[in-house]
Amino acid sequence: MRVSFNALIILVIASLTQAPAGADTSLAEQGRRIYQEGILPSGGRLVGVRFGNAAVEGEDAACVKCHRRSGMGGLEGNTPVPPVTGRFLFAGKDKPLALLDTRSPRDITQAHAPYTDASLTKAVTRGTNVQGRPMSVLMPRYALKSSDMKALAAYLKQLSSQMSPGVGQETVRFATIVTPDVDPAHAQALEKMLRTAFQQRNFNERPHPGQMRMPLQMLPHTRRDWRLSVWALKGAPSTWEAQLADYYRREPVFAVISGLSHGDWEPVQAFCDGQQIPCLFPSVDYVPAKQSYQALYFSRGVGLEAQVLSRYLSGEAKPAVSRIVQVFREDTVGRNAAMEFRQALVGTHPRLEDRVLNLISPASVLNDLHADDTVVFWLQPNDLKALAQAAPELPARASYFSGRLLGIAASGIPESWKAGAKLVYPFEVGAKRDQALRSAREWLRNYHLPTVDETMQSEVFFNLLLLTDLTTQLLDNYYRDYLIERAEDMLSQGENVTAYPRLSLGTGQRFASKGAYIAHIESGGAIKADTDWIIP
Amino acid sequence: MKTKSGDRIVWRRPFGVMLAWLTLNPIAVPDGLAGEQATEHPAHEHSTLPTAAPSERSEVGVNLPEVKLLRQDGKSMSLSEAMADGRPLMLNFIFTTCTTICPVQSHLFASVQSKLGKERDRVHLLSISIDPENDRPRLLQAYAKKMKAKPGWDFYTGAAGSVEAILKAFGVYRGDKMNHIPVTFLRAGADKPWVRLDGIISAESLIREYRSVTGGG
Repeated sequence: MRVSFNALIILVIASLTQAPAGADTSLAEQGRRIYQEGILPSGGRLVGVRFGNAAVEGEDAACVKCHRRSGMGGLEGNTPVPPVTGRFLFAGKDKPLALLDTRSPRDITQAHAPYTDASLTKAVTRGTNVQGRPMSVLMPRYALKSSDMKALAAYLKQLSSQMSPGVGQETVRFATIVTPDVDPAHAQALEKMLRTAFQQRNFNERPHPGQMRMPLQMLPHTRRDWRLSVWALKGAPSTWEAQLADYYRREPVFAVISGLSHGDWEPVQAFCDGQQIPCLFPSVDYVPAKQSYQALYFSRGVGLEAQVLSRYLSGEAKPAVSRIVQVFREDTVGRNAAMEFRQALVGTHPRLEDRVLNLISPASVLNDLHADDTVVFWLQPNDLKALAQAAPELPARASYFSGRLLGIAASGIPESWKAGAKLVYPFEVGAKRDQALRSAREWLRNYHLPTVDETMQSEVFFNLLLLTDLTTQLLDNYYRDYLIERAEDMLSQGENVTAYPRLSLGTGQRFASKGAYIAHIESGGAIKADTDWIIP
Repeated sequence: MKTKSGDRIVWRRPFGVMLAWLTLNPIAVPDGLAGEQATEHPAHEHSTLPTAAPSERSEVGVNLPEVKLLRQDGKSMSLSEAMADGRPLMLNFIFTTCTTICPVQSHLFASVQSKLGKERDRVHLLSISIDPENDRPRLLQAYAKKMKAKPGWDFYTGAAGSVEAILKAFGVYRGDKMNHIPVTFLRAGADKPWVRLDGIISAESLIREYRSVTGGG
């Protein structure tokens, strides 16, 4: 066998570059596999025993299950899961504060002596803590050799030991991202809301003479000024990831908050996952199909609507349908909504016809429709307006419109179409929704900010409240994984100020609202649900 | 800053109600919690594995609400239908993305099934999701498989309002799924009271309780 000279050189270089820090890095990497995957350095599965000799193995036994990726633990009901990072385990007197939670546990844990490698081994393998007391019944006792323990300790020592980029002593920076398809007035409304809120929040959080201070404000290093970067993208989506990387190089941010796009969001999500930056709840119509760790969304946008509508049209109470015609624009949102709808209908409906707006003139899009057809419009208000000029009356028996693309008030449906229109509506209806939106409306009024897009603006308002809660809970622990974990755990704890009925996440969940109604518009303009909340 | 109410809403969150959880004790749980579950059976010198017995046992009256549920196989049924096959019932509340308490709760049911052996078919185990909008039947089915659930152990989801009504009826509604606490319910028959067992319990103690309420061995 002949190995090429170049390949040999590469191998040699690779082994040389790994050598110096090699030993320690690979030890921590072995530890990471125990912690995150439940795999031992030997390649075997991690095994632990809980009370009653119940064995847990492999992935189910991995530390990450309870102590999470950040190692910061958390609180479930009245069950606290303590942090296990080096900073908390091995530190002496000067221990940081791990968790601030509205649901206080019944007990406030007392300080403990610092762990050593030996006492940590005793804790992990025998279930005896540093004070010599037995630990929780939930904590397995692990079968780990001393070499395994060395690897695990090496991993814990470096886990969440550095604040994430974008975090300074006194400041923390966030970015928001706007794609070029967005109407400048809307982009401006987003930026104004964020800037106003950041400014006000920073002012209020600063100590003022004569003002009484909350206990939390007296904790060291827990108050950081918020800074905002607005990352406006230009040109083709294929260039966005590089533009974002460039913005990020110049001004590193801790996380991305909000964002606005009516088209492609895939490059932004790819950037967030690539750089491991949490991207919290952008206002987007279409969510990339690729699974993401860093990106959290309000809902799956038009993709969710396609699933809900398919479920409704083929469900138990299905309306009689002969042929379905779907009308969309050949762009990211239209193409993907139509594709997902087609896939969802596979095996449930014989005839689905596509009519692509870019390819046919608006005047002929609605030609040759039968009275008993069902038409689905994956279209924005401007396109609907053009169609309605050509066809003042809705030509089919049933017509469905995207609530996401029309917004909370669905005011973009042409007047002459309203009476016969049905909505796939991913928001709450009636007084409950108006009640939830009151705070956002009041806040915008108080700061003389115009309402240009209530759907987006109520989402941004929610993000500002969320950011306030999250940064409060992070205290002096600005680790990106911890930020995501707090959002996963706490999203449904806060007041719901959005048009969505309820927002909730859990470990690994990425879409906070999970369903939609089928609804119609009453003569007064109110939206009324015709179905229960449908979760596909 | 009270001049603007919107301002108060956003930038002054009620810190007053938040209690800081000070300098946590790594790995160990707070004394109260550990004590509650472990002191009844103090650990032996050589082994620190506590045997878990319920921290509290009570009999509760439950007015079952008339709500619809969806079983893991996609079948829709009312709560009373789900509970009415005549067998004694064991019931818990879980969700599939829960990392700490639920895996242990589910492991308890799996253990009960395996320890009961042939007797397994005589008791009906129900797990109702407290995150019903996420835990659709497909996810419940995958979870059941992961937990090695055998026939006789069913998983249910439903509308958020339905699950809330059930939680309230059982006296375990705590506002949000992340506030949940470990509780297991047991009922010998349709006309019998519900037994509520609080805490992380072992399969042995649940089986003991089951035998005692059903009058079995």
